[in-house]
Amino acid sequence: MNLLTTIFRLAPAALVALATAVVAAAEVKSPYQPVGAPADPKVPARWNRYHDYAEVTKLLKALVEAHPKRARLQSLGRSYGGREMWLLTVTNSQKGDDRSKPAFWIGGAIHANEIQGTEVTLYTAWYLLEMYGRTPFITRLVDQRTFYLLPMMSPDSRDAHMHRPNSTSSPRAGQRPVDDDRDGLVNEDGPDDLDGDGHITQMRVRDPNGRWKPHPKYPHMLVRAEADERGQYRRLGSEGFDNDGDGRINEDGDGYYDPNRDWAWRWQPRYIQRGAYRYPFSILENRMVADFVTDHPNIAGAQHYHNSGGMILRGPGTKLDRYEPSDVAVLDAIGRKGERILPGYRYIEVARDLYETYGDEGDWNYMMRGTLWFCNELFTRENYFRRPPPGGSSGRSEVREEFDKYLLFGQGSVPWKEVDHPQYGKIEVGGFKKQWGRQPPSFLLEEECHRNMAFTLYHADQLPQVEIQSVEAKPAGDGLVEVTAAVANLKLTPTRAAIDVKNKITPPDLVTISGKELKVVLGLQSRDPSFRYIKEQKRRPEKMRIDTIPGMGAVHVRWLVRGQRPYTVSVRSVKGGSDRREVRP
Amino acid sequence: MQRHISRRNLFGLLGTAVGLSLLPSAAVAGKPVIEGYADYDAYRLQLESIAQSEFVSLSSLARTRGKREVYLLTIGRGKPDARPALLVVGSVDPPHLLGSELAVRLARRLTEQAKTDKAVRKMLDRVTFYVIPRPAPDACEAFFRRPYLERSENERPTDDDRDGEPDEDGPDDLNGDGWITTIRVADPTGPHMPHPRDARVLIEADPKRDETGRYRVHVEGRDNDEDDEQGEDPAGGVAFNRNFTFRYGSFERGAGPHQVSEVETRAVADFAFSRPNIAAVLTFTPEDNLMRPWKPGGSGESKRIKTAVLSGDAPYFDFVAEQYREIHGGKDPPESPQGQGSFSEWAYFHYGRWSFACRGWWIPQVKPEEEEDEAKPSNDKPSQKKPGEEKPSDDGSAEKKSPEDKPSGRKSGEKKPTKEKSKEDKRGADDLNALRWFAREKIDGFADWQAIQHPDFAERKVEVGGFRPFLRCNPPADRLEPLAEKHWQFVRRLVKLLPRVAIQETKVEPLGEGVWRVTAVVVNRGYLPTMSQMGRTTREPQPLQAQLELPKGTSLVTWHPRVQLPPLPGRGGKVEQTWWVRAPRAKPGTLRLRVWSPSVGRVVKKIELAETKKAKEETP
Repeated sequence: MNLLTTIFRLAPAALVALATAVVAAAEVKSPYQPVGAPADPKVPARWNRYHDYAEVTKLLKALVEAHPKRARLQSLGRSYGGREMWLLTVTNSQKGDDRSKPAFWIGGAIHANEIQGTEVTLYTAWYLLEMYGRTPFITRLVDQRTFYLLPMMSPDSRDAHMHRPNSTSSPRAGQRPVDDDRDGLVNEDGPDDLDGDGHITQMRVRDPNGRWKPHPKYPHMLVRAEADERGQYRRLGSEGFDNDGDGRINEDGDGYYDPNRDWAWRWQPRYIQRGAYRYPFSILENRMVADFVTDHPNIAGAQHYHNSGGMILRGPGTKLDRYEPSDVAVLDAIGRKGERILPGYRYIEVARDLYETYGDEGDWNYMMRGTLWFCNELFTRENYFRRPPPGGSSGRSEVREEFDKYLLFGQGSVPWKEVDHPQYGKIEVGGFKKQWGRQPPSFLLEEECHRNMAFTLYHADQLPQVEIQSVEAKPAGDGLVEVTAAVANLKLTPTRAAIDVKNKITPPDLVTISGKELKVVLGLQSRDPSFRYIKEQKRRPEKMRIDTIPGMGAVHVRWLVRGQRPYTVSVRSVKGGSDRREVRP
Repeated sequence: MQRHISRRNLFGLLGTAVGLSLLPSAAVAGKPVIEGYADYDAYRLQLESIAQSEFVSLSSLARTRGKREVYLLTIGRGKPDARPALLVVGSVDPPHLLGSELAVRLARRLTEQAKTDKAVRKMLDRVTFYVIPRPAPDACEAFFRRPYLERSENERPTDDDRDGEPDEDGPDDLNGDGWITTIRVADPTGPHMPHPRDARVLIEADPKRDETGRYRVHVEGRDNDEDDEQGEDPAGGVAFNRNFTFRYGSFERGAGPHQVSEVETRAVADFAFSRPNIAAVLTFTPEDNLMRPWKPGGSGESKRIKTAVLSGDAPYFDFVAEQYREIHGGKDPPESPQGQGSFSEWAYFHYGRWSFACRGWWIPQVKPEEEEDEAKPSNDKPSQKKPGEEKPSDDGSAEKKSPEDKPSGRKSGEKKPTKEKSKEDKRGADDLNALRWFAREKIDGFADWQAIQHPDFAERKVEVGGFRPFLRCNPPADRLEPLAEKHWQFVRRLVKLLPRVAIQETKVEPLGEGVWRVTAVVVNRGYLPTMSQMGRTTREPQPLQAQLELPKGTSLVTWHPRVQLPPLPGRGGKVEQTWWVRAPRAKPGTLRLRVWSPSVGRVVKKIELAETKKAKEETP
């Protein structure tokens, strides 16, 4: 086990070197192509396949090389296994520095086995860069917004999933060793690939007293024998044996810790939250991300990609919290649009509709960074036959088998075969392949990429955008001038979420008046254009601090000033961008 | 003791017992608040001298933002990490510098006495001591820097008032006396009024008594950033003792950007996690549980997220606390404040270890010269014992408030007394007592109110004054050695209470045809269980394991030679474990049984497969 781990940790460099081109073939250009993805991209890519660490790296580098003005690649550091934490920044840097614009975060596959989160993130980057200048919507987004994309939140385990024996559900943890069974030995008893096919499947043994039998239509599948019927098999769990001589099987494999239970809001140790490691950000990869996000308070929206189940999740993750109602209203508006864009996906709340999670990334985004986020659980069984799947675990398995039979022609599974087990003797192993179950097959992957991207681009478009709508100056007698500015937020998301205002996470928006020898006597602000309810700012009235500009709303600022034109009125919002207007003589 | 004195003279650090000359206003950099306490350089020299001992290795766990080391002393024999260990941590709350002084002295006593005392060497054969006297060294230096200001936070620039600017409005020494105390601003709408017995002390006006406040109290300072607040964003930082994961106060002052965010907290936590041999933690901190043991029960215990000591552990905490109280002898301990992100509570609730905590010293009760006072309508004797005191050993703890109903087992020491059952006015009792004690000890611990001009309150009367920092939680230096001796005696007793595993008996039964039944009885002869209930809950400590090692040619009937054993209660808790062995009939050989857990210890026993009491073999 240790030797394997060592080899594996040395492998990435070699893999990069060996990687084949993404797709090098020059495509024949017919003038007639489908709408959707760019027909003749500068960086050719195929979206019906999965990419390992080396391939992702290569694709990211190709994108930056082809689009140097709009893409920048950096590494946030190296993972436990020595892989780079690639972060791609997409924005038109000629129209402003990335930090000056409202920004959108996209993170893929923090649970590495939830593999397609990476492809959706990559597709989004590729699409934004390739469609820039071709679609006005995309062009505007890339001009006005910044996208920070981290396709592989857990790169070590991504390669572990692809290159080592695993199942569709593993490894969820990273590769940092943890002594799960507290016996002083670390990762000493994980699953074992008994038949050497690269997949961790199931074990069964023929047993006249077993309670399982083959499914009548899909003999590959085991179903329970009727209560009064004799069975044929006993199930023995996941492929593996007792590696460490303690009488237990597969009790201490990769990890185990859950990188998405490592974030610094409502963190709880593992007796409360399975998968918690030592303390928040004790997983270095997460700490790198958290440091980056903290250092970029302009991130106003975030999207996390997981699988599976067809869900658009919002927080809170624990019942101890409630999100602020005005923030929930914004999430609802975007989430419901998502249900439309993503047929088969349900917009639901983690704590109340799914299960409670302590220390999840999204709650940290919202509660401690004031960022509105969604987490999409990619792929739904509804996609098998475009109708809601039957309930119950056997019904769900049946439909998967049916899909495997009629659409994959059996390619999704490994037939049962006999092996020698060191503790159980002669048994059989077989079951689903690791690429199949939580991930879409090739012909559904591209659709999944595009639809989810469309949802996040809608969200990104709804990030706050401040604008000085009008500045009026009128004489107020005695040489004083009354200057009134309307400062609007053109989008759905408030410049500062209600939680941000409540916890004072980011500094307030500033609406400033400046001019040569301008004396500001009084500064007032109001949500109401006729200033019925006003708030005075006693100190430094020339720099009005605004708690928030609500989505699709405005604040109105009024000054009494003495001085000559020109004056400049400007607005600067950490998450909502900036604008300025000059009042000329 | 002789040895200590000579060492003191050698390094000139402790001096002789100091009759606290408390600092006239000439500011001297590097002069401590209390003579005889070691600043960082002196502390480092002390550790280096202790590290001369053959039983000690000195290392650093981290280097802080202030470029100081988080030192660790490892005191033990042979392979220290292979033995059960006691982790001793001082000054987690840096204004309580006493903690560091006691931890250093403990280490010194241990190493000095190990040279001459066989019993101490024997103790080191059994137990290793990890001592981190000063885990937050940057903030400790405030004790040596004028103006004196209690500071718990490290040097991370922090925007305490969340206005976008870090560290822009610290306190100011308005009267230039070298101390940061408080200002009181005359204000007919203010909540505070002078205490009827001693006008220096301010108390909150009580509407139930138809009292009127006259003052507002602020920290001594100006509004440097024009936000109508004084000294609300001082230099730094993150407080070590508010940065741990248990009951963490997000967005609170000193809590930091998130839990365990600092190089020093991370270093100490990672050190603890990397030492499964740590059996118990002793912390010097105001969140005491040795004078006032944690109370189990209530929702803090029944809820999934545990915030009260578990009932299964409480008796052990009570007993250890009794030992401490007996040795310490102190009376009238102050209330123990509930921590927020504190280290010692983390050590129990999240790290899953026996965690003992004490402040070591507090201002003793000093009786007022005249018990009766004329002004008050109803004043019972302040020292009168109330019904409902739970612990008989808490005799006469009238210094602060009586224990309220506490569902979480503990309560904040900062809350106002709200008891109805005693009509006695306890407001300011603690302050009055401190003033009496200062007078008795001739400590200039209170700055008398002195009128000043304050730019932020031009039209009001403003006075600077109040209690001087540090002097209420750190005793005069001549108390350090006697206190250290008491804590050394306690540690020696505590070590004897640790679990001690033994293989009480092994039984070998031949079943014939080369088949043997081997049974071992493993017992805990120590006082504490091999794992606390909280340890079982958290699954942090490693359980006891037993493994049977077989000679060549011998095999087990079942496949696994290793098993995990359940936690064993103290004083004779036992478990029986059986294996079935097949051995060559001609030469059955000898087995080796290992029983171990890093935090409990290890024992090995040879088991001969011999038909000592040869039962007649029934051969077919």
